[in-house]
Amino acid sequence: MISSDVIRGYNDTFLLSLLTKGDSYGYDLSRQIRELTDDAYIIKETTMYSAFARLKKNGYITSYPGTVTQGKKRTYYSITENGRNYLKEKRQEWRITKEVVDKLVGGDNK
Amino acid sequence: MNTIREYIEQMFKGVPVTEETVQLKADILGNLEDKYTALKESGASEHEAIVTVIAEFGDIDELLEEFGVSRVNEQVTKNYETMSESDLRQYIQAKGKMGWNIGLGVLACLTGVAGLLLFLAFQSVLSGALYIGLLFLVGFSVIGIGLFIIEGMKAGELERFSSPYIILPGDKEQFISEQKDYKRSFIFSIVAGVSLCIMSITPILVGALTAVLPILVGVAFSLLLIGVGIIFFTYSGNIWSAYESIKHNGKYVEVIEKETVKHKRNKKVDYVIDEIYWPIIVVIYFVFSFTQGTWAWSWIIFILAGALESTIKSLAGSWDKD
Repeated sequence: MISSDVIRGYNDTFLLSLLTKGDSYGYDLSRQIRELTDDAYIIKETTMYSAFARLKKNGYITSYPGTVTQGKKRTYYSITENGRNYLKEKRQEWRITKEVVDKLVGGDNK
Repeated sequence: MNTIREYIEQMFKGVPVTEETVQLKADILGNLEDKYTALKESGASEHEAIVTVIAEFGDIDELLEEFGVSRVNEQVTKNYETMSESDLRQYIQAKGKMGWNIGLGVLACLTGVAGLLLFLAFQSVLSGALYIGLLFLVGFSVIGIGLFIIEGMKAGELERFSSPYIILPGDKEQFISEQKDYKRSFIFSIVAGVSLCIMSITPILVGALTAVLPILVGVAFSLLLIGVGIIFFTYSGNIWSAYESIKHNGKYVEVIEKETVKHKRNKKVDYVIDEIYWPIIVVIYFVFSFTQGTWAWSWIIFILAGALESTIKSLAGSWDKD
């Protein structure tokens, strides 16, 4: 399992990226993160909801109450146009970051 | 499953209860329960499932910081009500409506008097004008007084906003900036109200100095203009004072205990002013106006009294400090 320190700056981006596939709610998003990474990264509840609060404050996502399923009324999240633009920037940034880290830390492919 | 619920309760202990935090708690609990169910279905034992779920909860302080709330002494949140943004919005709306209805009540009473005067003016051509006029007066006074009573009763429901309560920093900032935006409309309303009251002298002058209309008709129109002017005062004044009250009574959870001691002393002064000072002014106004017939300008006493009120309050406030 990855330490959450390393990945801290990317939680917001993970959630935005998953929301481009459609609106979703907390448990479903955390499940997707775990499955997509083959259990290598598990997002903590508080980390996820901090990220939601931040994204909402910045206008990158909106939330709405979903219909009641299995006796629970879930809050759904939806990415906004602003969020999509921000995600585009973050993807670009990641491409560069990946190269930089690879060059300095990777090392073994030379 | 109960263990998870208790764990969440424990984590959220002392967190101010707002719409936002209640929803957050419900969402997180829902997620953890889903997670627990999924783990059980995949063959985990009760114990394993609970340990995993709780381990994946995280750090509550990280979350509270992001939401701009701080956990407090549980006693504080029990002693003081926490007002959410929607509570306060309803309060402002209710105050505005109250101001509007009280203004309408005053207008109704004045319309009654104006009606009586109008009928009296035509007493010579209309037989029984006095009685019709009196009927008019009684009818409109009933409407007016009815409105006062209804609003007076409703005021009790807003009582909880008149003592200190807990407000979230974000909400307070929001309302303070809204008040700034409202300032223009407030000033406009006061100017409009004052202008109407000053203009109200015109029909009286026309009645007194020209033969266009009888003086009683002039006074009647003057009363109506004053009545409309008063609605401007009461409506915008009430909304303004609602914002002021939020600014004063809405306290941050960290300082509410300390600041409330001060509030209790100020409340005594407010009580004296509301319960004694203003009724005396109203009585003086009516006695003076009726005996001297100075309706056209004696309303100025309210403006003077209003100016004096803040002086008295600030004097009382500075005595308190010594």
